[in-house]
Amino acid sequence: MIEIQKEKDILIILSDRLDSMNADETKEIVMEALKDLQSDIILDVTNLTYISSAGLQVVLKCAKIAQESQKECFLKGAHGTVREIFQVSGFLTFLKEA
Amino acid sequence: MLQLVIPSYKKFLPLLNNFISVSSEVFEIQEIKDKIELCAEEAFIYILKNSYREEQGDIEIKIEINETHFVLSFTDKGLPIDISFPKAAAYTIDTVDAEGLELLLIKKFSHKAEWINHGKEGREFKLYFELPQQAIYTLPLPEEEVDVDVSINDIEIKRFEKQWATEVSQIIYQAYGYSYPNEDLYFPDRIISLNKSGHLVSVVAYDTKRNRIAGHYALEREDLGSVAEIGQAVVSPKYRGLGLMKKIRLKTQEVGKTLGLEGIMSKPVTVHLFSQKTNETLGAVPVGMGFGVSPVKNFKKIEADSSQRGSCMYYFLPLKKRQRVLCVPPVHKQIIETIYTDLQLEYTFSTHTNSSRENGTVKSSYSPNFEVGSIFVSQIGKDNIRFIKEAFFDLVFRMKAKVVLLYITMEDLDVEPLIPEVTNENFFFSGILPSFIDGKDVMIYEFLPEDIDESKVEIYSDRAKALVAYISNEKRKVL
Repeated sequence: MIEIQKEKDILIILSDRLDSMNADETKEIVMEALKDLQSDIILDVTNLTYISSAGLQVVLKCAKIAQESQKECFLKGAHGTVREIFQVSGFLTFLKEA
Repeated sequence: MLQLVIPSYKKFLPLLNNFISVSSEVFEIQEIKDKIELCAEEAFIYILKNSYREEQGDIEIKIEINETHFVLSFTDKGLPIDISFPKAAAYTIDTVDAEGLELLLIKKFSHKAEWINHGKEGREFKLYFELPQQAIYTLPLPEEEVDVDVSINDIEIKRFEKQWATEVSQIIYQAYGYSYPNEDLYFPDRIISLNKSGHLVSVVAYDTKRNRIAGHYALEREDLGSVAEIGQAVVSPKYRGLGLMKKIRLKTQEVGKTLGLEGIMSKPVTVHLFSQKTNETLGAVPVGMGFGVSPVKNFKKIEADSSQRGSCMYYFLPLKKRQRVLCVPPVHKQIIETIYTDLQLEYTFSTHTNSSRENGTVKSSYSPNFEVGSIFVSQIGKDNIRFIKEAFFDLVFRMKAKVVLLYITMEDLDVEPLIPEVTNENFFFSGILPSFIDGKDVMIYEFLPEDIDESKVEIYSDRAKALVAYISNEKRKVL
């Protein structure tokens, strides 16, 4: 599930599962929301219980859009296996933890 | 075993997830369910994307649980695919290998992942997940006693009982540190469950005065077949010099007989002579030589060569006799006769030359602990070489095997046409093993990409030296 709040930063709240079944749809929503990016991105994964490589591709897309726009992409609330997945895949080397 | 067959469509992923979820509940392994579910999705999607691409086919998913692992396998009959695992995770945003993320996560979250080529039956992607257990090195070691006066009169040699598992682990850990290649012995729970299932048959030296374990030997029976490998030998330092090693080994050999085994094999390393001498003294016969088959480079208290992989003599101790009719290539007939004469096994050579069938049977496997690939030809057929080449490619170029051993049955049809084909692939004859595949005798051929410095190899007996000289000469022909 995805929810997007545009305030000072863009807050993308990912919850429940982000896997091969919903990654494509989520990616489309994210890309639409991040058009003409003017602020930093915060990916809130506090309530994300599962992420697979398909979900990581969505996160990677966010990070790349931020990089291209010279903005930052922050990760918030990663814990348990979800955090371990971000860590072992190397994503915590470029996602700053908020 | 649980089994599920699903078509190669992404929309069936939830079905796979439910299969994993229910199985985790049934087997009471919720603790590692997240990791299994993740790897299951990654394996399924990887096969869809790379093996079937947009084509339709079936994927057979099997779940097995043994004493140590939850085993999840995917079998498909799609296109050949690149199965090389990424070497490292990303370290910047620009180094993320988006295409390799599935295999990276599988590598990180499974204990072991291997591809097995079943020839016409397809390709199997097998993932192993360790069951939650406590390793011996996480437990405190017992306090050392001083001035203990041990005596051989206090020692009984007997079959393993489960209350001794922790002590067995402890003496292995004390003797080998972290260097023992079979890690099962570091886990008392595994020693118990493997002994219960018969995959390990442990014999211990028990100090009746002090109620503790003084030594251990075991038969390993990975496939519960008719040949066991003897090993896992250790004597607690306080009990050295009492001749315990020999006594435990003799009892272990007796146990092998009572189990109805055809024989016991052993692979002593060639950095020292002690284990080879023990083998020969207790009736085992040298039957082959494995150059570079052991990853172990350093041994406690032995000045070993750490610049290259270790080599092993192959020994075999026959426990049962039967008549065998052997098909062997004429080029190695004489050395094979010498080995069988030493083994005192009755044999005749087959007179059915030029017999053949279209389709044979070839299987392969990879042992990551030893970095050794194995190819098993259990039925001779005209298509053997095609499947040997496929398996060889997977093992060497994808799994990065350092050595490949090829086992070819001698108790089937004429092997002669196959031999020049395998030597063309740079395999060289390296010995025989009786009753090794499905109870049938095999020849061993070896592929060794980098030569071994043989000046570091120590061989105990004259007959073993003669055999090693023969195999070494065969090696030189292909290297």
